[in-house]
Amino acid sequence: MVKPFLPKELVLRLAAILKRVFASPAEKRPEVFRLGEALVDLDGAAVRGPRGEQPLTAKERAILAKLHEERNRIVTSDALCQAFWGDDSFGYENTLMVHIRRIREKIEPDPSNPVHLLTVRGLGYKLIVKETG
Amino acid sequence: MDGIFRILRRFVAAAILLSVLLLVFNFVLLGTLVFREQRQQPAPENVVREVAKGLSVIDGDRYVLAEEAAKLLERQRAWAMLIGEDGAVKWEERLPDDVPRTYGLTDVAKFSRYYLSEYPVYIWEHADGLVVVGYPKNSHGKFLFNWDADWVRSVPWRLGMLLILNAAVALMLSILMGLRLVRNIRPLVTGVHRLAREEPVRLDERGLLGDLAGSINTASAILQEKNAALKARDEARSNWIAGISHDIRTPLSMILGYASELEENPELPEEERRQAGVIRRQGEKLRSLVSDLNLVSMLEYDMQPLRRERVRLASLARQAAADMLNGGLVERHTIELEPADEDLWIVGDRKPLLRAIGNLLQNSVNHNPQGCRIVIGTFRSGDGTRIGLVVRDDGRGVPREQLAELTELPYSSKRTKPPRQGHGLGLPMVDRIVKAHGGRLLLDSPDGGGLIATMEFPAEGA
Amino acid sequence: MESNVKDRKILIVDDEPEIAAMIERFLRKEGFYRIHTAGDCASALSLVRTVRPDIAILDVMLPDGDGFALLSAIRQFSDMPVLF
Repeated sequence: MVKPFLPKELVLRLAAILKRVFASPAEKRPEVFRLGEALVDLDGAAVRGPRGEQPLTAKERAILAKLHEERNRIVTSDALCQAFWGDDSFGYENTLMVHIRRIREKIEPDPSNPVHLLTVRGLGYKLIVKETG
Repeated sequence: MDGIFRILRRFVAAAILLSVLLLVFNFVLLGTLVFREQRQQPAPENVVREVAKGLSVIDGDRYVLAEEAAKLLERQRAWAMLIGEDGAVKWEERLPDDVPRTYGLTDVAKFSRYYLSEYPVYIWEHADGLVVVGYPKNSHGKFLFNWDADWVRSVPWRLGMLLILNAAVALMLSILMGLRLVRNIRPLVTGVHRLAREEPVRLDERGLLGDLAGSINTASAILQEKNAALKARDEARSNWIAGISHDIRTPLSMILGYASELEENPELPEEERRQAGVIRRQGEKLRSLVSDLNLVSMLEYDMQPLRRERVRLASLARQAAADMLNGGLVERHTIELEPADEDLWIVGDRKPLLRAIGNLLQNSVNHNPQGCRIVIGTFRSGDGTRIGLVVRDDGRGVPREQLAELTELPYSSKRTKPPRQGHGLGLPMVDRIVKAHGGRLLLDSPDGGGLIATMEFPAEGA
Repeated sequence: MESNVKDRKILIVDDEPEIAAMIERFLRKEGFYRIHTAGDCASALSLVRTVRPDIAILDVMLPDGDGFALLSAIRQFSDMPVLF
């Protein structure tokens, strides 16, 4: 139901539907964002990070995209697994951990002490993105 | 139909028992009432034997009867004589005049079977001839029975057949009568069962148990009426609630909309923006209240169909915790997840279930503004048929006596205390959501403090 | 937000003029500029036919019908997405 609504919510929903229904791949603006010193190009599937320019695999890109979509909010491992491996995410946590580790190696200055892609123990992961002005 | 067969069995058994008892009673009666007279006096055969024994010879041809025997004869009002080999009467005692004094072979044969001059007579052997004792006319009846030996041997078998056939006839008759009875009862029994299933009942009110049928019909009519009235009332109430919540939506939209705009307006001073923020947040609370109200009433009146999907409990727990944290939890409250059994599944609707867990978490937060530690865990019962989630906090807890009414709606008559922090709809809603999934909500507050809320469900496939 | 999204035509259907006005305001603030409003099913349908909006925001209760009925009517000749 639209009512009662927050204006931001309404606009976001509207825009989301319009984008989904009408946007064509060519029109899609590449999603690019900064993570501290690193620059993430989701559209080009690449990261220019502390260790130089590195490509993102399809899975890594998809995971980062989902985390970015829900940036600054916790995304459960179930939700991440479900997005890429289907309904039954039972048993895929390890694979997910491996992918997360690889992503960290590309974007974090210190992969063992992440500051952008955080683990939330028992729940999932969170991508910290500082909102621009 | 069990009941009917049991009644029939008992009825038949009683009838057979009755007929057997009657038969036995008859035999006993036969023995005591009918044949009793026979034993009262000494049997004629015994009398004639006594006389024969008591008759002794003196002086060659004079006979004398022992005194005992003579007294016996007198008591019986009987006469006696001794017939010699030649057919002549050798001795007599009180012999009446109309009795002959000589006898031929055929005479003896005749009277030994039946009567002598209309006197019933009984004979006994004596050394010197035949002793005959005669009773008064019409005092005894003699009947000669001739039985075929084979027939006699077959008597036990015949008697047995008598008993068996009696029993068989008793059985058949009782079954017939019982069936007749059952035929009258069965529609009533069916009627009562249907009444229990709340189906409409219309029985024929003529017949043996007509007034009983009438009462059952009345009960059914009342039940149907009440159910219809309840349903109508439920629908009316649900519509009313939907109407109200709809009417609230528009003003609420305006409040939320403009408050939000003001909050975001960079040209407004800090304080005014903050105040607008307060208005917005309260508006959001109202929004969630209205949505709760709708959900509760829909669940209450069974109008909201629930989806049926496989849902993993551990995943629900994680999502609920994440949502809570994403919504902004102050540091005073912490949420932890115990290592969960990943293989616990139930069949249900994810959204309301998430809502329920969220409510439990929110309840712990609201109830403990001073802060507390919240732990979410999963469990499986020993036999694997019940599984569920537990939300535990170490905060203030609730006195034991109040636990039961926490799941009643805030303004229901069952509440003794008004709802405290939080709008009071949270727990009743969890209760209803869990019940709608075939489970139950258990609340406990141990003496050490804190609240333990257990959502228990039947395991998938259980 | 992509500029093309803001070029889209939006239809607001609500019988409360204040609500419709508020929604229009917010949308315009966000950069949407092709906005139409209707206060009942009849005018909504005629606007859908003439203007051919790209998306509509519908209210559930309208003076001459409810939102779902309006949706079915719209679906007779348009697939456009609809927000309730």
